[in-house]
Amino acid sequence: MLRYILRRLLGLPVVLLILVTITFFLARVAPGGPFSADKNVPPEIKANIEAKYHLDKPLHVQYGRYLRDVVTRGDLGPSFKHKDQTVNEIIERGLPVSFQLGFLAAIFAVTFGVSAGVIASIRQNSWFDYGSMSVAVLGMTIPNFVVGPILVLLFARYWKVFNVAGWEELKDMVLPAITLGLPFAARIARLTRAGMLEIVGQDFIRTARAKGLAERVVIVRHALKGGLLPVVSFLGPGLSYMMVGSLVVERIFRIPGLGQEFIESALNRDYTLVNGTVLVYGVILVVMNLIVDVVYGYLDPRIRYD
Amino acid sequence: MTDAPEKANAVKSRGLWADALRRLFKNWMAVFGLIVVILVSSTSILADWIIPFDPSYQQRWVGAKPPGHEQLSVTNEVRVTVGSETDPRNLSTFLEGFGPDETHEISLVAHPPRELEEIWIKIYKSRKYPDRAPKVREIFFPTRRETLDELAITDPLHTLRVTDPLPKAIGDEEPEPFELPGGATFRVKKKIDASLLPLVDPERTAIEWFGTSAKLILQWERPARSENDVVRIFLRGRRIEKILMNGEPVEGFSAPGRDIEEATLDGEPMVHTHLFGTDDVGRDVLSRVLKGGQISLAVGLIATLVSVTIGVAVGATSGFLSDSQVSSASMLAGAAATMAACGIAGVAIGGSTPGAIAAIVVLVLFVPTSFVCRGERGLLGPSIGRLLASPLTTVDGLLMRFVDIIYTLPYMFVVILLMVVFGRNLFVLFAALGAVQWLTMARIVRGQTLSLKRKEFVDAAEVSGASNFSIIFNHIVPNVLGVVAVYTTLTIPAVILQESFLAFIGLTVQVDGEAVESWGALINYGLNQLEDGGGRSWLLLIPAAFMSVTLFGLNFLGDGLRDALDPRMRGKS
Amino acid sequence: MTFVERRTSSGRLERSTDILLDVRDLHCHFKTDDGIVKAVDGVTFQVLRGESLGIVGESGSGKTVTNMAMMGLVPTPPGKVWGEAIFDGQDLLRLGDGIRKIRGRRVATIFQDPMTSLNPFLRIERQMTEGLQLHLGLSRGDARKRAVEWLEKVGIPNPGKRIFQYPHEFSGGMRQRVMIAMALSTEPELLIADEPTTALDVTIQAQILELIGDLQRELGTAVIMITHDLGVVAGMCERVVVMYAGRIVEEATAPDLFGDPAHPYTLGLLTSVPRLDETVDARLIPIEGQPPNLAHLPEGCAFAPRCASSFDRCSDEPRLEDWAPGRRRACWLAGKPEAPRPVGTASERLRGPDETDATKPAEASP
Repeated sequence: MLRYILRRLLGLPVVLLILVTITFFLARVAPGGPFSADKNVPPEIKANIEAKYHLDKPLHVQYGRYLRDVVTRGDLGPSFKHKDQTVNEIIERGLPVSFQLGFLAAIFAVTFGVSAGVIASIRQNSWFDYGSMSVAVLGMTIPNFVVGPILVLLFARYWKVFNVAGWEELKDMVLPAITLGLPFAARIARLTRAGMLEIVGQDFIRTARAKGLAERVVIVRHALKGGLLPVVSFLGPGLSYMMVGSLVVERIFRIPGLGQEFIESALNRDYTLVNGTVLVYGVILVVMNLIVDVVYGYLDPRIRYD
Repeated sequence: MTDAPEKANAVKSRGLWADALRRLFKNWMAVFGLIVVILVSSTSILADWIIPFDPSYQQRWVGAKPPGHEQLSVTNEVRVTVGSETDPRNLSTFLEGFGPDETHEISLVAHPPRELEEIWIKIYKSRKYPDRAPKVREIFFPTRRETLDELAITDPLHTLRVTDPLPKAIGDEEPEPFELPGGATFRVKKKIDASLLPLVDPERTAIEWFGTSAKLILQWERPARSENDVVRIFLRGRRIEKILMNGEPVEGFSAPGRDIEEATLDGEPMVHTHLFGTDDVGRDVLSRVLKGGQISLAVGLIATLVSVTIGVAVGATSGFLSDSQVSSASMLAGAAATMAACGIAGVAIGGSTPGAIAAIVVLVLFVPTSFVCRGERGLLGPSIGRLLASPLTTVDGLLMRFVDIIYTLPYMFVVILLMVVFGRNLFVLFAALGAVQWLTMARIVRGQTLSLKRKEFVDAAEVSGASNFSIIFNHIVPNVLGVVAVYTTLTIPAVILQESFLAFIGLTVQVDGEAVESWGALINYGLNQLEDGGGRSWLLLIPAAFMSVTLFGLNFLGDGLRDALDPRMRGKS
Repeated sequence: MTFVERRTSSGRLERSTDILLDVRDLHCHFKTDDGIVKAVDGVTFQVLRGESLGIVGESGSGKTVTNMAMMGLVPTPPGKVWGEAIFDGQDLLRLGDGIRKIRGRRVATIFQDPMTSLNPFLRIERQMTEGLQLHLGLSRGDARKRAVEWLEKVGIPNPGKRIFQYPHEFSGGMRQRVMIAMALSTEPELLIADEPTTALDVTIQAQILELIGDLQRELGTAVIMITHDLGVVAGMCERVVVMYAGRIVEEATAPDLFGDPAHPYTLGLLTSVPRLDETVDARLIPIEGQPPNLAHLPEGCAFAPRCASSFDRCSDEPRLEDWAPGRRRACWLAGKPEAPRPVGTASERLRGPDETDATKPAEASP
């Protein structure tokens, strides 16, 4: 297991190098530079600006310099659009916010999804089962850029229970976390229900019942572990869905997170910031996927990592 | 009783599709989905004919009005007859309906002319934008030159250029002069400076006219479609005798001394209902949502069709030709190469439309080739196939790593990057969305083909000497169609969702420099228009509802189809 | 009163009337889309202390459901269970949740497939100790000690180490040994072994059966051996119940049943199995037709459509009645069933119907 983790971690730099390379060149070959929007700039000033950001150097020199800065100092360079700010500063500002959002959403999704799924599977064909699974279908089908605005309309604009925008207090965080978490809660609920139903139909559950164990013990000790395996394997791809979702959610609720920075930088062609954010997303994804794999291996003893 | 087994065997055997359809129609969710899909797609196809208003037509004077709002409508000409016993000096006519890009032509017909003493044209400043005001550029008096001197400009902000006679200076047709018995005819043409138009608050724009008058003729020059203008005519303190519209008398205007708020024409109310209200610049929400749906569905359908065509061709071919060692890795490799080729082609031609087309062509050509070249049974024959395949095999591993990287990143990020780099072009969108959707489709079809290939009927066809081509298209493709049908119905909502996602975060697709407003853009707009207390919620809820119902319908239909076609389900229940 | 011969640990035969489990008119019906499936339809039998009873029948005859219905393991709905199953004075069907104190403690069950009957996500240790902790009130450590002893007893080498492994690290036979250890570690009074050897290799089968037999003798546990394999019953059981379509068709001691079958179905079962003591050319006589659809049982005797000796009375339902001392059967025949005409030897049947057509005129009218 340890060797497996180490090997996966050793592969990380390679993955990131390729990621950096792709985004770097993709951004640089695009027609129109970051400063092409500033019209009426005298050529000498433009040359000054380009020199400041080393845009006057040949592409491979820029690439080499960028790579050197990233590897040796972890320096992602200055932002093109946010004057006097480095990409590192912007990411340090945005990342914790996005992390909080993702964490809250994940807690919401797992708590609600797993409990709803387990209850629905235990009370199969009950009103709770039908009700919660219909809600889950809704939650999966309605995109979060519809759910979010409707939650804003109801809870922030109409009833004013929660706040419309920002990321300061708990009142700011509830709606975004729900919006981001809802599709995952829905999917987790369905996966949990399906997984539990499959497991509960297995022979070993009959064995457990035949031992005289209480139903609660049968479910918690014998069924839950196997029933949650599909949920765990969903968490890997689920994480990338969540990242995409956070782009929308941060925009709806004007949350100053990494997703907002990514969209802004992409729209503004702030290439250093684009590269930086993509790199951070890449690292998070690779690490989280590794964690998910390890957890899966822990839950299912039949999986061997060699 | 001994014939029970025979009975079981005697159950009428049904065709795969008849069987599947029967099961589909038993699934009421799927039937609901089917109905929604039929409704949505037919309204989208017919959108250009059935939408009541031009979706981009603004009526700023209307502003945001809730669903069901009734708006007085007008035809091109309204005549107001004012009772002659009233004192014309107090007559002031407020005209509403100054939208953008319009020339309003107001003919003031004095009768009897002798009693006309002066004409005032006042343009009030907008309350909304008090520091700016519309300009009256030109006023034409084809006759009665002598009254020119008496024309007074009440507000120094306005410049008034008076030319006489200059009937065609504006380039429009000269309005038909109103000949009145023994009277003189005045025609006033007023053009409002288009650059200031958005600032005009028409409710505050009034033309006052002092003089004795029997008739006031208001004429609009408008495209026929935009009949939905407001025409509120305030005749202060006047008794209105009759209103003619296109020469016909209009009922309902006879209430003396009251502002006109209602009008009927031939007994029909001259009212246009905005079923889903209007947005803050007075655009009809229903029309915008239907038009947006047309765009969303078109994007979904085209991208899906592209991906299905390529995916099926590549998947079936590769699945059939592949030997065991040609894994799905080579397919991924092909996709990676395709994306790279897309990039190169796009860059080479500067992200333009032909560049994107070139990229798609490469995409279409490259990948099948990579399969065709491979393996012993490649279309090119064993020797050439092996020759061409060897470098590909070497590169295979590297490409696989590359694909891993690309797949590490959520692919919407890639699409966002591509759209930013290559422009918000429709083709870029198709290429970016299609590239991934195509791949999935190919993978599914390939898997299905591989399993079909091992079936006895394919062996039988092969033994009986059928060509590869005829086996693929006579045996493989028809059997794969079920999977394709399911996946297609599920891909359309996925693509709609992705396009709307992009539109929502601001990456609206542009055609000819104009943003194409799909549902995602409308939802984003609705979100930004929300007010405290839930005001203007219809701007959000209506496109959201349309989109959600459509996505439901498509997903339910797709799920229903999958259940109906699942061979494990076949014959059950 | 049923008299049953019983072998004591010393091997001496003795008579006993000590009834451990008394199942009376047990029903278990399932509601399905096809109608009501009468999986168990009025089953009555007794198990004495220390006795081993075999329940035999084709798949779908209701053997397993009988067991599950007694133990409250049939999900309701769709299932519906009624009747009586009196275990040591308590009706298992009316205990409600209290049956948990009996399940695993006083009645233990071994299921057919050791591959799937052990929880793949939990270590053997956890799966063995939980029952001991629950029923015997042992601490985890004591329970573990006891579990290790039992693993050793069922012949698991190096049990102290293997107890911490997962089921997938065991072979099929070893898993079944674990199941047996798990079932018997609480020293139950009744062990229900539901096809314990079906999923195993033949050589392993014998070992497992021997193990069950040894432990039964050692502990004095009563055993219900549910199987479709007549060989298993012959080697293990003192008394046999034959089930067909959810009902008992015959009950007898093992020697009586094998030597002198009273029901045509039992006879059919016996004659359709190749026997080692016969020559290769001995004729095998299969039971023609298919087991009936339990949702649409024929009127009268469920076996009549397949029965070579059926006659007009068979359209009435026969009751399970005493037939000889210690024997019951459900059949209208006055005497013993006649052996049906042989259809062919095993080797002939393998060659296909063409060559054997002449030898089986009985099959001409399906």
